[in-house]
Amino acid sequence: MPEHDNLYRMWPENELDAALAAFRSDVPTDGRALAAARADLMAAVGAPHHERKPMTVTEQSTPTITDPPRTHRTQARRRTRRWLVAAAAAAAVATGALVAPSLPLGGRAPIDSAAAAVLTAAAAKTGTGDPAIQPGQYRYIATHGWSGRGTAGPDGKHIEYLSEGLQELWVPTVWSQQWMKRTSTTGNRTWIAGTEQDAKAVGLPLEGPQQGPAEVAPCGDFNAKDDGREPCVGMPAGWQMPTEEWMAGLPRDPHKLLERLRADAPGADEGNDRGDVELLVYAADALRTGLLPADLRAALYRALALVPSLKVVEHSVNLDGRTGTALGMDTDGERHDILIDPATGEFIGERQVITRTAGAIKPGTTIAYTAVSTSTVNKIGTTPHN
Amino acid sequence: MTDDSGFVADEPPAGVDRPRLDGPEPAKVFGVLFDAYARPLHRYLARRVGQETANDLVSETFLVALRERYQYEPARATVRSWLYGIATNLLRRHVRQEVRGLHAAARAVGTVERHDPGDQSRVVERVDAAVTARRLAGALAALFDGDRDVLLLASWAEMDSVEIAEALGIPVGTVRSRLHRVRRQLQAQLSAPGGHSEPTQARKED
Repeated sequence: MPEHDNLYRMWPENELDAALAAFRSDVPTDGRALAAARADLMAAVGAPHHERKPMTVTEQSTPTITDPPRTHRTQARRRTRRWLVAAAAAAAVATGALVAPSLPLGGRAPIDSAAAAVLTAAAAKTGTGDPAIQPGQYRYIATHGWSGRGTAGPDGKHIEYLSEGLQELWVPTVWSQQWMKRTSTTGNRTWIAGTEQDAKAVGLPLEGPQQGPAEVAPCGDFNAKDDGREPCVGMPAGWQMPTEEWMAGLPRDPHKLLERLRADAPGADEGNDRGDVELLVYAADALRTGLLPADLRAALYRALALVPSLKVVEHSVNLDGRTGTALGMDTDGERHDILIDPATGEFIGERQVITRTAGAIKPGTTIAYTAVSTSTVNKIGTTPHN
Repeated sequence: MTDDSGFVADEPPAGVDRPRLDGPEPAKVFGVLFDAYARPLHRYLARRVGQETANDLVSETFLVALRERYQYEPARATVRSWLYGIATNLLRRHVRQEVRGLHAAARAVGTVERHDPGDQSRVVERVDAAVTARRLAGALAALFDGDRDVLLLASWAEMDSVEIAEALGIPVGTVRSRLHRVRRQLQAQLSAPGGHSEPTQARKED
């Protein structure tokens, strides 16, 4: 490696453009697929009112049009992802590489009885209800998300660390009142490939502590302004952003809830090449918010108990100081786990674990995780510790 | 419908980049639109989420456009911006897949070698290109979704700020500031003191 000082040199504009221009510039165009798409379009033009179209299409919208449900969901997802859900979502391995789904989407495989037992027991524990909260108090939901920041050194060496983000949410007893949200980067990091020295040598930015501004909004509708909406009106809702109304509309029957989850999570026709893992991801999205009432959490556990590919991966996993049972699904070199405290039925977080060597990362390495904890505070903006 | 099977792409719809889509002959108009925009759109989407998903997304984009044709307002956006806006919305369902793919690319095992017996400088250039791509992949994965949309619409779809604003339904000032910020961010991330002087070296011959 050439000698270097710590001068921070920006890449010239033209080199950034060149790198972008070269990136995946060799994608082939699929003439046959385009011809098929054209034929579909022409058939749809001729079809009486679009009955021929795939279901996904009827649920889509455009940026300029008011929002059907699916758009709500995708917006919600995008928003949610804006911060550390990166942790939950990111990092997995599938290269978009276009292999046929390796897991049955229809669920022919037998249900894993150990996983079902853990989930059913957790549902029973959960079913007793949420801890009491007095009027004027707030639920304080702290979500610690660890997600990867990586690069390659000039010699091709893989360098990656997990950076810790923290989201704090204060939820009023009456949801239409003011909520508060604060996101920050703690500056904590753990190295999963290479070292801090390697990172400094190649100029990988190391995230230091950074406190975001506290946002306040009624209904938890923090994006109303960006969307040009009145707060609480026409709020996006979905698994990534559950509102009371949306949750009230979800079935509590486990089979029906699973059906709903399957309908909402991306299917194989929507580019999902990870099979039922997406069900777990969607369920975890909702559980991670900390906003689900006990009856819905219990129903969701019972619904997940019906998913055949979900297995007990490990007992007594420590996640940010709390211990739980990990239930996971494996596809394409990566496993997605949710962690449940068997003693209380509480959802304590989720993680992604590499199961096949990826670059410098060895199987068994956790490449992202999120830990959620909920408590009660008397004042908005305060934490249980102050 | 008289021409739903025998359509021939003969002439562009009136108004070219801002055609009316609510006319009586959607087959004709949409045939022309497809022939003009499907291929570059496919390429753009394939670079983001892979070819298979791009196949589906192109098809869906045009089907959504057909269904929503009465909502298209030529005054508000070129039809190309509008189509990319629809595609961007559809793409959001695949954000996870995209980010996974980028992470995978970032940590891909280097398949290139430095000890090629042939032209040494060429080999180094290839190594650098591969390393740059991996670093760029990592940097793209770390972007906010909205930032990635803006950057890649500008770079890969070659749209200007006004078109991007039309496509995403956000103010043009927001696009410009995002683009500026995200470019600075990438430049900072990709620049490497000492370690990454190779792009310059690799270009010394041209």
